[in-house]
Amino acid sequence: MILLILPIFFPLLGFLSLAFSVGRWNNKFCALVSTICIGSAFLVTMWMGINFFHYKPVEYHFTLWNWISIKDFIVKFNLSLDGLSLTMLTIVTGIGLIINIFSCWYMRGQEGLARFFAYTNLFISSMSILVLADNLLFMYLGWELVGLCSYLLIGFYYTNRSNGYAALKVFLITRIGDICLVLAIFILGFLGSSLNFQDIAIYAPKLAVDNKILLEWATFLLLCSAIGKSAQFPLHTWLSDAMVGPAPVSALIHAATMVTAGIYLIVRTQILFVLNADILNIVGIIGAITLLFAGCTALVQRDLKRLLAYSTMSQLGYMFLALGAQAWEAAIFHLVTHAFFKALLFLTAGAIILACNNEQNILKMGGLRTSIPFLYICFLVGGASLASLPLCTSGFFSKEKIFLSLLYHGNINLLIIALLGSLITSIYTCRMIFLIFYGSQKIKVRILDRDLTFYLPLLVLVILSTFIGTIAIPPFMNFNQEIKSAKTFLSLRLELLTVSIVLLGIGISIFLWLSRRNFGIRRYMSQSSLGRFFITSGLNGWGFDWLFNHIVILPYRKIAILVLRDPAQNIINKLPHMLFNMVGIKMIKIEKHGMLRIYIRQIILGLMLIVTILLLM
Amino acid sequence: MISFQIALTISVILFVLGMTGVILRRNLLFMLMSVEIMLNASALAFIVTGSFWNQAESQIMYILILSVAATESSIGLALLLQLYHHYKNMNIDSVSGLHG
Amino acid sequence: MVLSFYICAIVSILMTILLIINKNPMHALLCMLITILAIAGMLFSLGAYLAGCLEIIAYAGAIMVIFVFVVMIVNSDKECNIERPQLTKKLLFRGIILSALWLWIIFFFIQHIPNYPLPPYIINVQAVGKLLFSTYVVLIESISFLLLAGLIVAFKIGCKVR
Repeated sequence: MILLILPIFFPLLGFLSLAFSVGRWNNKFCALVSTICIGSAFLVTMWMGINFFHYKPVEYHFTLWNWISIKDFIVKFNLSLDGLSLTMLTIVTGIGLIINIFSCWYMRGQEGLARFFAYTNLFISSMSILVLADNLLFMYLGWELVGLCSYLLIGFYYTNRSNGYAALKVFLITRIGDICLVLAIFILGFLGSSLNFQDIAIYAPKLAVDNKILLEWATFLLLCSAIGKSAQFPLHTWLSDAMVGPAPVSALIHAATMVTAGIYLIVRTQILFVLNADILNIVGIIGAITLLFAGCTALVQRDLKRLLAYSTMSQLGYMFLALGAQAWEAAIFHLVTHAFFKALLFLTAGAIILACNNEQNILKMGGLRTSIPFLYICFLVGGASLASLPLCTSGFFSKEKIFLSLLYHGNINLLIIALLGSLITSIYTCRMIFLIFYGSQKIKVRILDRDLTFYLPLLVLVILSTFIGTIAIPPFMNFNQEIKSAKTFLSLRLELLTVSIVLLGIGISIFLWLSRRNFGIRRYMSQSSLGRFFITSGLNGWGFDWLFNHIVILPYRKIAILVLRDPAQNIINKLPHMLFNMVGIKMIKIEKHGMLRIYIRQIILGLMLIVTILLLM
Repeated sequence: MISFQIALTISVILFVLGMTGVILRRNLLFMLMSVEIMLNASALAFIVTGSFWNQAESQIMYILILSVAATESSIGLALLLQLYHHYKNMNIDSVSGLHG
Repeated sequence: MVLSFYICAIVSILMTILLIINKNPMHALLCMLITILAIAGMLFSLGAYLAGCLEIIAYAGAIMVIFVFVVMIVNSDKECNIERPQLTKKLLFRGIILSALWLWIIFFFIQHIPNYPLPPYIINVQAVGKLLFSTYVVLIESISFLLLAGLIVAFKIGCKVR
């Protein structure tokens, strides 16, 4: 099925042509080339999807070539398409195309546009490699390339030095996850001698009996890499710093596609997680911690993009929570709907920031409802989907699925945390909307000239964020449909509970931020000592940067200064000097003469000694 | 028939002669020539053993050694020219700056 | 065939000894050239035709030419450049002792190798080509990298701006 290679090949072609065309093509042509390449990748994906549904096959395969073949360890460049890959590929190419069209409007007139589109095409190509790959090593290739593109795109405005440092920080923290993934690949390759996902599913149950500890370590390392890439609790500090890139970059990479690579990895290798129940518990716990932590931090943020970044972190926590309850379908469904509404929110946020003359602080905006009505509607729909407003948004259906699956899994603690997270989500979403669009207007709004490339992507995303988006139900073939069919009394009560929690959150927001008489509770909260502690910690990332600085960076610097004067060389030189001074041998001079011929002679003598010893043995 | 031991011995003699040339001479040009002799001798040893095992891989190794020798002699001669421009003689003792 | 191998061997050893004793660079180059041709003769008589041809084309035809060019550039006719090799008694003694030691060690171990006669097989050039481009194709790629790197380094070092 040679069509499989096209979603990788077309954007790669776009990347190469745009990369080698720097300075020669004008901006419009670059945008056109980029849109054509990603558009053709999207069309191919649609065609494959239609074939998929029409003929109801199980999978498609295509082998490119042999990569490694040593005795019985064979790794090929295999591409395979099943339901999960098709879903992810549709999201990657579809949202990639929409964001590409929007960035034709957003990045208009900026210099280096060819570079931007080249990197975006490379990103789409490498993400396609990631989701189409058949074995862990090929997927790792896509994983690394995606990290590279993220670094390149975050540091897009390279003239500002701090942007470069932010990009470097992102790259280094996700690198920790990459190292864990490499170690997991080593362990799995050593244990099973095949890295193919289907082969893993075959030999993993046997390994769970023989080599249980090693398999647990491999699964734990896979989890660590997913944590690094998806910005979960210990390795989350990079996502808020990654917002220095342009808004389409944040929408594409850090909302819709790259950060979901970790979740894709866990769903792909789910057999390993199912066999190690402890690690699965840890997945759920980490999701819960991130959910609450990021949600509370999003409550006190002032920067619009940072708030959206923490919101992304929180929603990814939801997906990890669903994974911990073995609800693979629910997690992927939430991934899809999250991609829609988060991309919508980020693109709209980018447009709002442009309209406010690059002002990113939401406390300085206000009352923009009448100035930019179209953006208001888009943001409202996106925010409603984020807060999972009942029955008319797609976010509601996906979150419902997660709650139901948590209920059926029987984990009541995690369910309570998820409900609490839902409350916090609706509070901060409404806070965001009310602070930007209601109240008195504090800032002068610039009139933006808009055209089709501005309206079309936002409209498409708005439509997909409403309940129409639930049509994009992931076509899994091998998951049981128990969650959709049964509607017991308990599930109805849960649905009522979630709806009421969302409405309660919206009500609290209206009370605190919209109404005029809020009894000074807001002022009290922001000026009490506890409130001030929360606000300052939230604005400074809860001291995680300080922690990493003191644990990792400062000791490394101290060691580097210690080694600077080369203590090892001094120790190595002292011993022979002492020996020879004792014995009185003057023939072998260890002086600092620097004469090459004496060195040559000494080398030959030493080599003779080594050869003799080797041959005698 | 060519005796295997004698063929290897010839290659070793050539190698050791080249090595002696490297030790004894001061002029960088002659040292480079002696290094070429050493490389040639080791390539000869490879071909001799390849003829012993009747395998074609020895000639592949020969191609590798040849390209290494070519690269190394060109870079060495470029360095020789630099030495000559600096110090006006080709004595290797004039570049004794690598202390310690 | 056998006789030619031994004659070439004796010629090469003699010429190498002359090479390391010689004072004049041009004469030394001539000795080296004859050594290389003798080694090529040895390769031919062993049946390794490709290697022999490559030796003459690449070694005698290219590397020796580079040496000749360099000797032409550095004006080795001048008195100060004709090196008097340090064949003083002390150094000669040390050098010869070192080489004799090496030779003795290697001879000691060569005696343990089985002394079969080398069969007069001719290794087909096609066989070499088949192997080179199927199993050892990585070698070709790495050799091309090596040559590219050598080219760049020789350009950078050899240019006169210092």
